[in-house]
Amino acid sequence: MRKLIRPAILTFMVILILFPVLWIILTSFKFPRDVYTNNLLFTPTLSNYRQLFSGNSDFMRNMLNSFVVATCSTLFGLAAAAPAAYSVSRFKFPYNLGRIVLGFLLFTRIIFPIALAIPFYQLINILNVYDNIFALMAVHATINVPFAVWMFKSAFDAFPMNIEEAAKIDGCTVTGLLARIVLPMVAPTLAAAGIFMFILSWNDYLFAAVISATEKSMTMPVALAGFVQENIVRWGQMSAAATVVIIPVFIVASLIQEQLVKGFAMDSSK
Amino acid sequence: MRRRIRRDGLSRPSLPVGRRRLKEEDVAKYVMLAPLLVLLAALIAYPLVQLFVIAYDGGSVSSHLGRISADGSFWNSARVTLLFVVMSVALELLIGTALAIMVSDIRSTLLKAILLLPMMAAPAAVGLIWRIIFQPMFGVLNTVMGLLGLPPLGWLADPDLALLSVVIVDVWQWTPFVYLILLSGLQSLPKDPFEAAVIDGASRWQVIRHVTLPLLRPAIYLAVLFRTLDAFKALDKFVTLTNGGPGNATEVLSLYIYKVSFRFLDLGYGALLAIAAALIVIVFAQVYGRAFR
Repeated sequence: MRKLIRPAILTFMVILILFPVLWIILTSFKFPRDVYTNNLLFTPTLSNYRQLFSGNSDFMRNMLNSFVVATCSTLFGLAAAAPAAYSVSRFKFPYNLGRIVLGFLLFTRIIFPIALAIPFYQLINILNVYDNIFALMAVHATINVPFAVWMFKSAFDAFPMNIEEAAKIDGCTVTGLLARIVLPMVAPTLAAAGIFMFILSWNDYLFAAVISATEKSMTMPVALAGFVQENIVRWGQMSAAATVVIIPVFIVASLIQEQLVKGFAMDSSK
Repeated sequence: MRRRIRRDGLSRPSLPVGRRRLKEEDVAKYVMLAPLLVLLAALIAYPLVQLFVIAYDGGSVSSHLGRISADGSFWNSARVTLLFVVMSVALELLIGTALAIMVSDIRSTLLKAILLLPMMAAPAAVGLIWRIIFQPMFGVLNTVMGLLGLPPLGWLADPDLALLSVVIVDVWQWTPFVYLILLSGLQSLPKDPFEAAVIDGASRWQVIRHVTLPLLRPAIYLAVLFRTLDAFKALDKFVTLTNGGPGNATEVLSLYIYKVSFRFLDLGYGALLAIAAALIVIVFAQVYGRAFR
């Protein structure tokens, strides 16, 4: 009897976690009439997806925006995070500058995103970059960079220095060292931090909602929120849209789960 | 040792080379740090300063304080937020700790991958998923409750139940986070205290109570700290689940400030409320830190 308790609890937990996700996927293949009954047997249809991606819907554009913003902001973010983390991990700075920067990055976790969104809104109007995906890219890169810096820093800290010392003695420059020796060695972290930043940008609602106004720059989470603001909720299409947002993330996240767990906790493993 | 290497003449770089390298390093370390500093200064530090400027432009200090103290919606949202944070973090901690201790010796990667899924889903999408499940007329939750012989509930439509429903969603999404942090905490604990306790004849419950939990304290502290900070900031989920309703039963601070700033476009007052909200979090964190020590 006791032996059965643990597997039973685990199975129950896995069902609780997976059921809502499976349910939304099921709903996305239902005709409206089947949404309102809870029959497990129904005629599946692709009509929700077809309407979602049809010519007079903006969802295709939203998806493209999400993808472009997430990709570019991740690349910007990595380009800023990796060298900075290396610099802080390896060199001493006057006035404890390195530690101040790391502390400030932790502090950013405490800030309400809304407290940044308000000045962003004003700044964006002053610079006249409202409804512009480049503004959103810059914001996402900055908001998500603290995670990446911390992930890189702990990877660099764990990386033995003697190979670098040897290369230095052979006359290798610091930048050459980073490009040829250090980055290849922390490639797994690079991938994990990159995917992590991508997901954070892909999932963001607040900053996207504040910066974008039209389909020109609107991303998927903002479009999702739009579904519930309609008078007659299109449950089927809404489910299809939610499925499109979460499934790619699930696939990618499953592939590199170990590092993602570390990233979520930022420095909590220390 | 050192002398022998010198005699070999192997690792003795000539002086000019050494000096040049030193200089290059001194420049390079700043160059590498510069892009990050520029981003942080331009898009975090400067906007934070600007937040105070916007709040200051919105009115004098005394008129501001008068407006906040008379703003029933603000105090309601502060109360709703505190309720939401305390309920969801407490439940997540309770369930997460129990699970972590119960299955601490299981290292199934499949299980971990499944646990990761809720945390990775966009909160806005999670809100939509649960909106369909909670739907009072045809939602699957009421159907399941009907099969179990329970009466249907209003969930998100019921003012008394709406906040609790959002808590359920938050617990669904974030209990895995607490679980994973505590699991890695458990796996890094020393083995000796457990062996000693077992030799002394402690029961399983006594081991958990007097050995595991005290040793796990730092991990619990961190998990709760991170969850609390993030729960205070929650917004997306509320937008797609309830948009603050019914009435203002689920209008949390972030959502109220969002509405003031971007629906009514009163940025000055929104900025002020954002500062007030930050103060509430700081006070809460202080109390929490004390309680834990």
